[in-house]
Amino acid sequence: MLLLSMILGLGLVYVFSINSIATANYQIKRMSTQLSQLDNTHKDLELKNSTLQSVATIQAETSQLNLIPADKMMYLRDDNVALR
Amino acid sequence: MRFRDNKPKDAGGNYSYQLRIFFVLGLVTLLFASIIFRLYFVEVTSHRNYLVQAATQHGELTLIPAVRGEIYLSNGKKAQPMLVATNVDKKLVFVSGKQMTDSDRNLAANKLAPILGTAASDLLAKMISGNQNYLPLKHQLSDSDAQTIQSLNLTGVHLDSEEVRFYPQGKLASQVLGFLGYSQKGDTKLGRYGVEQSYESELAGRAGVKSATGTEQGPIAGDDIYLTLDPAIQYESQQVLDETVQKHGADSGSVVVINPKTGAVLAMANYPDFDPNNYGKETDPAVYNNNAISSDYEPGSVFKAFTMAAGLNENAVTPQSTYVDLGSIQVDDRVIKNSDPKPRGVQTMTQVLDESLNTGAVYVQQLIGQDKFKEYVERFGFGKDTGVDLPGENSGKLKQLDSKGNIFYANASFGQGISVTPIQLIEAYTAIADGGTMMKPYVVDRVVHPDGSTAQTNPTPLGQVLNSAAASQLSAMLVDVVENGHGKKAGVAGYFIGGKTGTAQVAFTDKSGYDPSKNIGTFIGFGPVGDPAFLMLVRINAPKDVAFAESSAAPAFGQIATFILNYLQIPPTR
Repeated sequence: MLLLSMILGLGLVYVFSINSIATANYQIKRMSTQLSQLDNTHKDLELKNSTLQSVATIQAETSQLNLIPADKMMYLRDDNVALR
Repeated sequence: MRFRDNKPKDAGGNYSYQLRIFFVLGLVTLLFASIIFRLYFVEVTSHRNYLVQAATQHGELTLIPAVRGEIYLSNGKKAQPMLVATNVDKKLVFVSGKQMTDSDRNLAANKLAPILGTAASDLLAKMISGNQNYLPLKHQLSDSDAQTIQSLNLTGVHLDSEEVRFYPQGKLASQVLGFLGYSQKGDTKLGRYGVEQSYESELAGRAGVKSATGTEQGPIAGDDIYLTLDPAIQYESQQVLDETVQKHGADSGSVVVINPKTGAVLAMANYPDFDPNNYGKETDPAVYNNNAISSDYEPGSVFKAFTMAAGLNENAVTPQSTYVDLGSIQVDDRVIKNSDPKPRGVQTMTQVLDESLNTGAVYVQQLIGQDKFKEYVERFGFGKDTGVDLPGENSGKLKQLDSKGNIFYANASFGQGISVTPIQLIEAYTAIADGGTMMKPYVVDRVVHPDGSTAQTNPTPLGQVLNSAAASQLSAMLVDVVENGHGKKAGVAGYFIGGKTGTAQVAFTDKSGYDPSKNIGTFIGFGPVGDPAFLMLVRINAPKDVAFAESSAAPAFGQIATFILNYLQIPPTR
């Protein structure tokens, strides 16, 4: 009787473990896919960022917006302005 | 009782027999030591390599390529560095002939031809004669083309993924970056030219291996590299250089901008350049060379600053010292003339630089003598590599200074008869711009390992070439060149800019003498003098419509300098 209960108990543990491992494997696979998708998205965003940062893009945008280059700068010094 | 010594002795009474045994024993020991050393090398040092090689040959293991490191421009003013070299997955289209009938081939050729931009007949011929298992038709398809091909669902036509090196900024700093090409044998991808070559081992990482039972050892990704180049200054330098070369119908040109206090290169541009994404389309491989470090030339009058530096540092002259200019000077059997040979009479050393007088440079060189002059030329780093972290550097030639003839030294005093590279000139000028200390130029700011740790490049001082007083005096004289001399077009309103023009003659390649139809215009300068933020060289090769650097290189310098001072938000100094 004791032997039978032990076999049954071990069987249950075995089934439970197998089930857990299978579930964990599915989760790992799903997360790996997600990680790979996120990596791809990250790469795409990084490339977009690089393109948007390029001076050529910025110049094209500024001319489209009719912005004028600020070529005459005035720097304020301490003695030019009231400090308080 | 006496014992006889039977051992053979040589003429000197030594035991040659013992010597021979000792010699043989030594030889045997050496042999064993070399075998043990070789065994250690094979069994321990190269253990992993041989293991992988054997296993892959037996089909037990497959190599997992490491992800190549990325390259960024540091983008000094902004927090976000700019990505300039990365790896992307691209699609390629291939056909498997075994799966296709003749009508499938005809259909595939007709449908694919407009997408791939190839004639249908050419595609068909390729499909018939090419590999029937795996025949790539086009690499690096655009996403839309890949989707279109996928949606056609043609028999025997498939898409595959491949990782390719991608340079999102195209031509930006192409000769500094280099590209990922193929080895001489053509079987391995590796960095060619630029940082891709000089940092190949860091960027490549280490491949992993996969056994039949699963992954045995994962690959180690390559290091990411952050360059000192500033994208905005680099872009502006390239733009101005392109415009200048085209405006003057010149053959080529270079621009180098560095921070004279650290030696960090802020921009390095050459014209013509190339797009590393399509490097194979270039017909002349010379375009891959970074002429700013590899192309040596006779620098002309920009070299007078070093002659004057030697004179000031040796207390042989001061900015106010005078000599009498007769428009020309006899040295040995030759007559050296100024570019404008009219006699100017009494001239100061400041005027020598302002008017770029060859006779004045010869005067200073003769005051300090041949040995001292050569010592200073070498002290400024000419005749040897600067050691900038890029491949293909040229050390230039100082061979003329090995001769004792006065004429060779006289010529060298105004930059003729010796050859130097732009990067050598830039390195040497750091000593003038920043208090006498010469700084080594470098392009890699830091290397970031996959675990996040960083190897930062520290600025390398190359010693005090000039005392600070001589450096300050010379800086002031170079300001006068821009204010009152030939460098006016390099000036920026509101700032003290120091610099020197140089119009070099170009020697014939097939005979002695100089080609009167060619010149190389150079301008080197820095600013704001006193607390310099940049040091820049502009070189324009063989401009067709101007005779002097003051009309070719100097205006380009002024344009870039204005941009840099504005971009770095440096308030006017006067």
